[in-house]
Amino acid sequence: MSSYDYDILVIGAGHAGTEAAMAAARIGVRVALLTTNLDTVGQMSCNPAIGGVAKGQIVREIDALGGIMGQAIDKTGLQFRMLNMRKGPAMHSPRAQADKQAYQIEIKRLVENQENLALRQEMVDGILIEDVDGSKSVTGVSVRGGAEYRAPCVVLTTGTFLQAIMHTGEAQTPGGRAGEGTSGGISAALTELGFTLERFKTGTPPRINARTIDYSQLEEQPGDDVPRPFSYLNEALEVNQLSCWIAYTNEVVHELIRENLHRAPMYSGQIESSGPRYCPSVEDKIVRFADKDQHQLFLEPEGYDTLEVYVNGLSTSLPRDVQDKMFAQIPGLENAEIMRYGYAVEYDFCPPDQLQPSLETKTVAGLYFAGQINGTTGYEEAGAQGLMAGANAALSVKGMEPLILGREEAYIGVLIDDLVTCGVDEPYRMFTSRAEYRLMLRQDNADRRLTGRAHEIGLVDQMRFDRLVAKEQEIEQGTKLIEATRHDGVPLEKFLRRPETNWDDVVGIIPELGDLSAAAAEQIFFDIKYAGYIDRQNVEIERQQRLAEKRIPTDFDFTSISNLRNEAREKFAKVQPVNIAQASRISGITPADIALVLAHLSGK
Amino acid sequence: MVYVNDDTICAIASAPGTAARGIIRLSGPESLSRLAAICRPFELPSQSCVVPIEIALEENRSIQADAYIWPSTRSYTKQPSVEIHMNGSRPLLDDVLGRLCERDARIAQPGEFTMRAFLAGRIDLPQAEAVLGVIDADNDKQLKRALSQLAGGLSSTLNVLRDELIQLLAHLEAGLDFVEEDIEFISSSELQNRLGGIARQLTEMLGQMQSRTTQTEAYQIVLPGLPNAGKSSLMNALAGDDIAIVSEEAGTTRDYIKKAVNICGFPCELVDTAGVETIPDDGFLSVVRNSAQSRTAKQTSGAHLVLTCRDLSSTDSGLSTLDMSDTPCIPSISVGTKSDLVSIQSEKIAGIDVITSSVTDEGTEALIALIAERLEEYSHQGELLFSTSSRCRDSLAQAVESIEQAISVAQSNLGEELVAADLRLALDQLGQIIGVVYTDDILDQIFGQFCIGK
Repeated sequence: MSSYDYDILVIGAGHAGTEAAMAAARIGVRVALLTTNLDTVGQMSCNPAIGGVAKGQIVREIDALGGIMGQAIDKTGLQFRMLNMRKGPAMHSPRAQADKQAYQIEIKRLVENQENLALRQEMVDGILIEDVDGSKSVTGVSVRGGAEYRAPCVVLTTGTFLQAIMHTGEAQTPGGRAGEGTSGGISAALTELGFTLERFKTGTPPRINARTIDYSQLEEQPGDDVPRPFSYLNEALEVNQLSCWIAYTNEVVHELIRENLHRAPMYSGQIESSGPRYCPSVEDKIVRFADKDQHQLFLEPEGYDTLEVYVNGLSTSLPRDVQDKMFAQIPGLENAEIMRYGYAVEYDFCPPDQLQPSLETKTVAGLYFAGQINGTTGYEEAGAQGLMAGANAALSVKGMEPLILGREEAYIGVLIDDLVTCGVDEPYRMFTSRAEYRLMLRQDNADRRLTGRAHEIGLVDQMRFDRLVAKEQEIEQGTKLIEATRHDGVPLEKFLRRPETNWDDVVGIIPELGDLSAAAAEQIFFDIKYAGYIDRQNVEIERQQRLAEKRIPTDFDFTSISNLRNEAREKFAKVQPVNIAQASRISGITPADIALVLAHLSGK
Repeated sequence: MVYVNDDTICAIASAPGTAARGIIRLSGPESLSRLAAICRPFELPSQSCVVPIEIALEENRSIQADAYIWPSTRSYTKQPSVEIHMNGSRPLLDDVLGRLCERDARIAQPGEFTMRAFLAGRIDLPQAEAVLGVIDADNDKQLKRALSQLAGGLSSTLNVLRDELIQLLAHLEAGLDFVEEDIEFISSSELQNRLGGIARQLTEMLGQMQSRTTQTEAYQIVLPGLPNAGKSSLMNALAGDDIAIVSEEAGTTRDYIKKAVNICGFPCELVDTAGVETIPDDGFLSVVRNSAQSRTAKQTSGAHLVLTCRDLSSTDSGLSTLDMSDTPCIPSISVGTKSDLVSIQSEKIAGIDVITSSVTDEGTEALIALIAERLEEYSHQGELLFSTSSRCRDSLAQAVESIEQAISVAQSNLGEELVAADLRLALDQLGQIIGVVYTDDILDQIFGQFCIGK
């Protein structure tokens, strides 16, 4: 039998897998990235877009940590918009439509060009484990065709492919994505290793042919006049932007859906698993919000060289004939030809409270999970986890401490802490409201928050770090100038905080500030605008950090605390918090429970 | 939080009501400076000792007290500590505690002094565990009791206001997170109006809570029930010869009658709630009952102790039809009255704690002893109760401040994300009173109210 040796194996080459493999390779270990199909590396299975509110911030963080998502979308985006520009800077969120195929090819190109990284087409059918006195560790995977890959760390990023079933009306097809199969073997292997698996569902809308759309009846949604890049490596973008278009459903369409509800797998009982509330199928919208007489549909082009158009907002699992009839009733889409029908997909995931904050599983040393297998949705959430899992696997191979980002440091920190501390009861998507320190976690300052830390562990190259250092110097100079100036009878900072003051006014007062780069000026401006609130949040952050310093040993026995409530004991045993800060965030845990744990920790 | 131990905490360490002297305890690095900040100037000692101090109050008044001061680590908690021994009047203690809080001392959480003593090695693990382990249960009861005592029927209002605040925050958050949805969330002027309404009601509630703690130190003993259950006679029996009737609250509607009495050293107010004397018994008993019931609920919600009277000579004891299930956390004594009218073979009757007769005076002494016993339990829990109520008011005041800040931020158009930040602080404070967190509530609200679906 053939056998190959690596430091790290990444299984699956979607958004999580590619970031995982790239991160590990950047840190300098030898990585093999195994995918069932080399032609679907980095594929956008659902909507052809990257970013959005909270998600855009995550992409900026991935980029600040050296990841590839930002660079790939900058190169292959066909429309760029900064959302929420009417709100404050913490809410500004980049979003871009991608040329779907170009994006995928760009990701593949970046992966192929990465040193230390071997991209291979293989079908993994088993996980190799070593069990010494009940303590399990991973040693590799077996693949179809009688070969083995050996490595001390394996990152599993299998997406929706575990035991996947697609539903279109009454029709069911095994498979995680239209036209592709499922990976059943891994589910069985995970169950055998003692992991709990649960099921989620998600949906995707039909795609239609642009040639058959009457755009004269639709509302145009153009890109920004000045497209802003996702990657900190890019200062400006040259792009010939395409527009998206808005259509609306109506009562006739709603009536048609109502009449056919019994044929929708969710309502017929064919699907029982839970799906996301924030991305409901159109049948769900019509049942739950019966009083709305129309729903918005966004028509998003899938690329420059294709006429395929993604109908965002019309996710459905209704049968083909109903999908056809729906379009006939929508103004502008009366003659639309469906190119791919919408479907719902059900899949296995591993409830993420089985993971440590490094994304390594609690029960099998060296085995990491990232992406949709952890019950999340979204390319951005997947990519972020992949990057962290890949980096941590590499750090572990090198015998270094894992990289754990705090909730005050990054949306990625919020994401992973939520997953491992609270688990999930619907597919997890990031919202800014999940981040208690969102005023600091802005899309404009991800590099300042993360690139330094990433550089320390070799996750980003010197060039990125030098750019950051130069930017910080500029920021410092500008801030000093402002601090030394008074205007209108008040310190300039105070003047700047007034809502009507903009940066140009300040440059009018201190002309030297006009020499600063736009990026540095923006940092100074935003930091001053939010200063009072950030100071207040810093007090709370400091308190949380002191709690995080109180570590709980991995072998700490919660059952030894005789006065602990049963509920608390069970929750602690399940989550196995690594420090007091995390322990206090577990739902249902009270200050008195924490006090007891603390008493025991210091009693030892 | 209990698990931060390097700031300065304070609490009342003596039971309310009975003691002539009251104690306020401080522990933490700034204990001495906090004390100095509320006193007329005096020299801070460098060694453990007792010093006479003068605490400055409103309008140039002051009170004398003794301060036991441990400036170094030789205290119970091994932190600089202070005990203020002063007049035991509850409003005064409360006032002094408030002054310490204004100077940035924090009101201690339940068990916090114990925790510090344990961390200092003053008590061992089993002792600490025993105290900390029962705090949750106690704290929960105390919270409910403090709320019903301080806020009376207002605790339900608090829940309503908190829900409304969550709803407003959900609107704001939805507007921030779902910018591309085709939905009108909330206008700034409507937001400001509704926030203003919430702030006004919370302020009103704060005023009421303050007046309730400072108004009376007496324990409220409520006698619910329909007329002719023997309540008036029972009240007179409890007032007795040696217990003087101090006051009788008269009102034009005579909704209820209050008598101030002293039972075994506990200052009490007896409250006859039903107040149906003015409604003629013309056969519309159901009307009478409904009216009695709503009044009863209102009165009992603020009670320390409920005496339920049952006329032993009547088969239809009026009380059995009054629903008392809304007041589960208030201790009660079930009193059988008019025992002289029936021949009772057994001493015990199911569900009756004491059998009395105002004619023969049977059972009066036993009842008084029982009341004293129940009130004794209260005074043991006094420290917790008192610090809980202080915390409630503190939280409420901070919540009001945050909402007012949110309104001003909204007015000057500084950004909805900042309004949201202030509302989150307000909700944190209200959540501390009620004991709940809200993050999931907000997402639930958003997905329940709006069709989010891009």
